[in-house]
Amino acid sequence: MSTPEAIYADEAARVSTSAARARARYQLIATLLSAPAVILMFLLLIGPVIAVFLLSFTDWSLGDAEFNWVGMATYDEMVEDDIFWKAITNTLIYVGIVIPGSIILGLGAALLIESVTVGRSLWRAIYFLPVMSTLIAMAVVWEFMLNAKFGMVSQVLGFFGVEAKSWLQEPDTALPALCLIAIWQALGFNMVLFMAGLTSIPRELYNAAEVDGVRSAWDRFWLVTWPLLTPVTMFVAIITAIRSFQVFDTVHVLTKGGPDNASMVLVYQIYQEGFEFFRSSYASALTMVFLAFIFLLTLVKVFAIERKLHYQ
Amino acid sequence: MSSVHIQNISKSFGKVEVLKDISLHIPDGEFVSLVGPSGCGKSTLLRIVAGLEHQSSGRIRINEDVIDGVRPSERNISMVFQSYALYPHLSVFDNIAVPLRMGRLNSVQRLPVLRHLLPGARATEKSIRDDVEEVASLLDMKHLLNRRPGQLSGGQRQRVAVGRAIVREPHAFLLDEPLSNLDAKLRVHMRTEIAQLHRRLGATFIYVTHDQAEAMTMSDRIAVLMDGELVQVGSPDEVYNDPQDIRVAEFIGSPKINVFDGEIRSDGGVDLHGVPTGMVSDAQTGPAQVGLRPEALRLAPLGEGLLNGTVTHIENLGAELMVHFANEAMDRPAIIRLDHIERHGLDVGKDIEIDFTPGAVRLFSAAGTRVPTEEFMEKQLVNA
Repeated sequence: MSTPEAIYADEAARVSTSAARARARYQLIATLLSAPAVILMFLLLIGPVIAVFLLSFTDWSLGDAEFNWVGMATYDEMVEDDIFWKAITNTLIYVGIVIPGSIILGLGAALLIESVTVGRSLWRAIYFLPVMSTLIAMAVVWEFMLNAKFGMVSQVLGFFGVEAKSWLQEPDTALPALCLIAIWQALGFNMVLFMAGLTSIPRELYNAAEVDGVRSAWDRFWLVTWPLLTPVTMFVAIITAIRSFQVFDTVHVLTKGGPDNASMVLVYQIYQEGFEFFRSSYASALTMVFLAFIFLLTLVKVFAIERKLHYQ
Repeated sequence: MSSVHIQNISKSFGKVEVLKDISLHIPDGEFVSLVGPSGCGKSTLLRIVAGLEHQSSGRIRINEDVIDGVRPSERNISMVFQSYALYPHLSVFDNIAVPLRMGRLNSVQRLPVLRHLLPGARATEKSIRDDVEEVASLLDMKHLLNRRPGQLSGGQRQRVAVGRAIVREPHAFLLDEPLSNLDAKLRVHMRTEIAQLHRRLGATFIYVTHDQAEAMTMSDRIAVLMDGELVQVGSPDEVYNDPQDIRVAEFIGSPKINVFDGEIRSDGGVDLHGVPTGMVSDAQTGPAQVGLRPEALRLAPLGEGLLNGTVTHIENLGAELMVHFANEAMDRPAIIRLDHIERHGLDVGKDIEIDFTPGAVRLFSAAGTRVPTEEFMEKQLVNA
């Protein structure tokens, strides 16, 4: 009746259907297991983002009973808004100062601590302390330190003949002062990441460099340390950038964006518009801009770090 | 090229003494292997010569210059590391060029962009390019110059590491187990290549290995280190045929030398398991160890052998056989190496008798130092 080929085909079909059934069951279980996380992510993250996105096309204010769709009107307003551009510029300046500042000082601290033999963990603890402390509380301390009359900074600078001033109340110095605090705070965290990176550099590479005729610490740094730290440096830069974009607490406590918007940054403007002026739709539009920046940085991270920068 | 003098080098890490009063003179152009089991201190000695480690006492001289306290970068010595230690972010070309750039360019000329602007730097860069390409063609890897170490196989990386070492003309080449990360086949091949390289360069090589076969096949002289002591230095032939210590005898040669319980009788005769070996010795009477290489043992016709035993295992290597045998007086089996043709239906469980020429006996004291022996007949004549 049935030829060997037919039996074989029959058998193959049976095997493949049971394989397909097993695969389907496997997928169902996988879906069920990931469901709680996916549902929570939609409820708490993606859902709200979509809601904010939609809100930015309305004229809704916090507390309003109803709203109208206004299309791109909010965005048009934003483009015309001087404070928005001030906030964007200030945020970019802030990020542009804090990234190199905290990377160079963090790497410097890591190299210095690695080079000492005694008290390494003490130094590490001292530099890491700001990371663990609450920034709001520390901001108050900084406020005192930067005070024109009795602040430590003014007194020390006065010793060198620099005129005392209210660093946080002057348009020229408010933003730099905030950058300084941010660098002070981020330095310890970056230092720890760099120290981890330094320990992963093979000792034999330094030996090889030494035998190859590398005499100065400068050459050693550029031949071995810096190139081998590139992946860590990229990671630190991205993390610092994302954290700097989110700067809010020091601004809120110390300057409130002033004087005359000299220290206005994106997230603080979102806060002001949303929770002081109750213009929820405008705050939503600003939030979309903020998210675009963060998304961009995430893309850079994915492409630069995860694709290119691994040597082996 | 230069000679290297290692004089009374000792090294301690805390309380652990890893090198004990080592002296070794390596003349210009010689290939010397430092060989010994892991942990014997051979790599430490090499690193002391390179300057990467500091001796607790003793001196290192290159030609007539004492180089203690001179930094590795100033010693003009090349080194190939076990892990190759290639710079992962640099191409093969740039890896090989590093020693030249460090030597020929000053720190301003080494700056990445400026390098191409300064006229002097450009001429030097050209000379560096020529030298790197010459080394690359010598090692047959011109086609690899643009690759990164991560894109190379283990053998190719090893070649790059060698290239980086030979691109300048150092006083000496130090090689720290350069073949141990390669697979067995490639290792045998690279053995020949490195030996040929040495012949072509005529340079002083100090080669560290735990593999006695590498030491035997490549070296002019072998220095055997055991527990931080230099036990014996000699040509491969000397170290193999005339070992001065039971540890050297056991370390050099594969399969290992057979060691039997022996005795020096009061009349000077040397016994093996109570059977006279035909050798005599002037040394103190009492228990001793009799060493016999597997190829020194022969099968004897029944009733004529000096030793008997039962075959416990046969390793067939094609051209030759390793026959393991034991008897109740032996605490571990001994090995005979036979040509394949001698198998004669030998099999596990079969009783055999073994014979050897007296001259093959290497006698060691109970403590392990070599004891001089003479053949019995000569002794008789001298006494008469």
